[in-house]
Amino acid sequence: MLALRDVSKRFVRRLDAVEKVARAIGADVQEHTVHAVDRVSLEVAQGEVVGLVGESGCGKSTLGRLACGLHEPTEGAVHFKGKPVKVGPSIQMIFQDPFASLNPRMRVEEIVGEAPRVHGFVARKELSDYVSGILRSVGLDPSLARRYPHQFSGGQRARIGIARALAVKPEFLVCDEPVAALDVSIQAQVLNLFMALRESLKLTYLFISHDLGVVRHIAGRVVVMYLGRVVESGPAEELFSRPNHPYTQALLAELPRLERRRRSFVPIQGEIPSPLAPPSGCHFHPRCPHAMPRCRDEAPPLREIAPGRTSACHLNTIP
Amino acid sequence: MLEVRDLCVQFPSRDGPICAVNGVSFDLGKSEILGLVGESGSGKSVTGYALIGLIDPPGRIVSGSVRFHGEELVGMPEEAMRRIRGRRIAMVFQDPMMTLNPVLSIETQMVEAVLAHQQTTFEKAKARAIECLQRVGIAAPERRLAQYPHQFSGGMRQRVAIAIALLHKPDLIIADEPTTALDVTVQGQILHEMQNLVRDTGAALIWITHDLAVIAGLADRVAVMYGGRIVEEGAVDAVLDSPRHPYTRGLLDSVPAAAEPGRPLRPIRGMAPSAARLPAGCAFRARCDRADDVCVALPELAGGVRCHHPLC
Repeated sequence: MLALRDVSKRFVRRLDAVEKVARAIGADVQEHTVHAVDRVSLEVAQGEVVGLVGESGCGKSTLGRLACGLHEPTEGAVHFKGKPVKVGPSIQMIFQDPFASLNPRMRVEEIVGEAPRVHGFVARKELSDYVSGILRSVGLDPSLARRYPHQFSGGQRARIGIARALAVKPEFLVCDEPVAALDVSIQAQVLNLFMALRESLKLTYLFISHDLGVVRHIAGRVVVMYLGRVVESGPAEELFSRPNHPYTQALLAELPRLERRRRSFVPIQGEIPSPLAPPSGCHFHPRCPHAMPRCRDEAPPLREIAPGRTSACHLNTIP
Repeated sequence: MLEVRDLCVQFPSRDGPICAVNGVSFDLGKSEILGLVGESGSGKSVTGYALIGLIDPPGRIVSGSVRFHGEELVGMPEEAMRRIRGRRIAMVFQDPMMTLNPVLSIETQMVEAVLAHQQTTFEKAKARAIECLQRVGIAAPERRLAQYPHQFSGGMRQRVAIAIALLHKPDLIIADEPTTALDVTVQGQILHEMQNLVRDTGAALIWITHDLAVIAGLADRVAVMYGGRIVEEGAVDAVLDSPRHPYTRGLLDSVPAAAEPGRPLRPIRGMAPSAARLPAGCAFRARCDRADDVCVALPELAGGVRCHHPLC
C-alpha cells in the first residue's frame, strides 16, 4: 500500500548573515547537513501494522512525515497505492503532543468537523451528527463537542487527535508516538482503541514509538532505525525473541521488564552520536561489542537473513 | 534511618485547600531502595519534595513528621535544613537543568557546591568533583569540568546532576523520575551507576517514577500512590507478583510489555480524579470493580494495603 524506495532526507542549516561575513573574511564556518533519513526502503501492506522503533535522533519521526507527504524526500520516492504520495485525506498523521497539534481556540466540533466539511465528505447540516458519530467511535461523549481542548485530560486530548484524523475516512494512519505522553492506565485504553479501530475501519498503521513494549504489543512487523538507517526489520515475534543486530540486542537487553527483578543493569557503552557527525562505516560500531576493523570503513547493507527478516550487520556475512 | 509518619501537604486554592499528599507513612533503612510509584497527580513527587523541605509557599506541610537519623525535619528552621539538604540528603530531578546553572562551568558549580558545606581548599574541592564525575561514568572528567551544561548531551547532564548529588556522600538520595526523559540505552547506563552507588556507598535511595518495570529491576521495596495516599506497600516481589490493591493490579495489567501481543489490554476504566476533587473514602472506588457501599469510608493501611476488599 505504502512504499518508500531509497528515501533520503537531508536538512541543511544555512549560514546566517554574520556567519556569511565571517566566512568571507576567512573564518572556518560551514553549513551543517543532517542526514535525518539515509536511503531507507520500507513497504507497508494493506491492513498491516508496522512498528518503527528507535531512540531520539534516529530519524523515525522524519520518516513518518516523509511517509504521509509532509516532507519532500531529498532523494528517492514515496508511493501510496502506486502513485507518488500527496498530502490528503487518505493518509492522516497522529501526533504525540495533543497540546501542540490541537488549535486551542477551536472547539472540538470545529477541530473534528473542519476537514470533512472542507473536503466535502458531509453536508453542512449533517455535520453535527457526523462529528457526534466520530466522537462516539473514539470513546468521547458527543455532548462535550462544544468544549475547547484545554478542558480535556491528556487521554481525552489523544482521543480528539484520533477523531480528527478519522473524520476524513483515511485508509492509512501514521502515528508518531501517540501514547508516549500518557499515564500507563490511560495509555492502555488508547492502545486498545487503536487496535479496535483497526479492526472496525480496516486501517493500516505506521506506528512510530521509542517504547518497545508498546510496539511489540501492537505491531505485526517491526523496523528498527539507528541514526537515519534501518538496521533490522522482521515480524515482531521473531525480532523480539531472536534479535539479530547488536543494536536491537542492546535495546532489548536494556528494556526494563516487570519480570526482571533487582537485576544488574549491564549497559552498552556510549551514547547515540550526533546525527550531524555520524560515525563512519556502520553507525553503531563505536558502541558495538562485536565491532571489527571492517565495520569502521564499510557500511553493511541491509541483507535478508531469513524470509521476511533483514539486518544490516557484517557479522551475518562471516562464514 | 528515615521515618515518615502521616505526612500531609496542602496547597490552597479558590475552592479550599487541596491535599496533594495525605497521611503518607513509610520507613527507609540504610542502602535500601524504595520505589515510589504513581501516575501524574498521585502526589509522589510532592512527597519527595516535602521530605527535604522544598514545598514552595503557599503550599505547606500541614501535619506529620519526617525523622532523619532521629532528627525531626518538619518545622526545622531553614538555616538548619540547608545544612542537611544537599549534604546528607541529596535530590536528583527529572530535568537536570533544575540542578545546573546554564551560565556557569561545571567546575564552578561543583566546586561551589563542595565549598558550600565544607571548609576545604579549592584544589581539594576540584579533586572531589573529578572523583564524583568519574563515579558516574563520565570520561575525561578533567576536560569536561571546564565545559558548560549546553556542551553535554541529555544523558551526560543527568550524570553531572547525579555527580553533584554525590559530592558530600549523602545518606539518602531522592531521585524524581531522573531517567524518564532519556533513551532506553542511556537509562540502562544510569540505572547501572545508581545500583553500584547504593552498593558501594550504603546510601539509601528513593526512586520516584511512573514506570513499574524500572522499579522491578531496581528497588527492594515499592510504595504505590493514588490520590495522595499510599494504597499498597511491600517488597517488590510480593507487590508485583501478587498485588493486593485493585489499583496496583490495574496498573500491572496496563503494561503492554507484559501482555500477550495483539490482545486487548485490561486497562483501568475512567481516569484519575484531580487532587482538587478527590471523592470521600477510597479515592479509587469510582474506577474499581470491587467497590461497594463500604468504600465510602476511608480504608486503613493494613497489612501493606489500603483497601476494604483486597485481592488475596
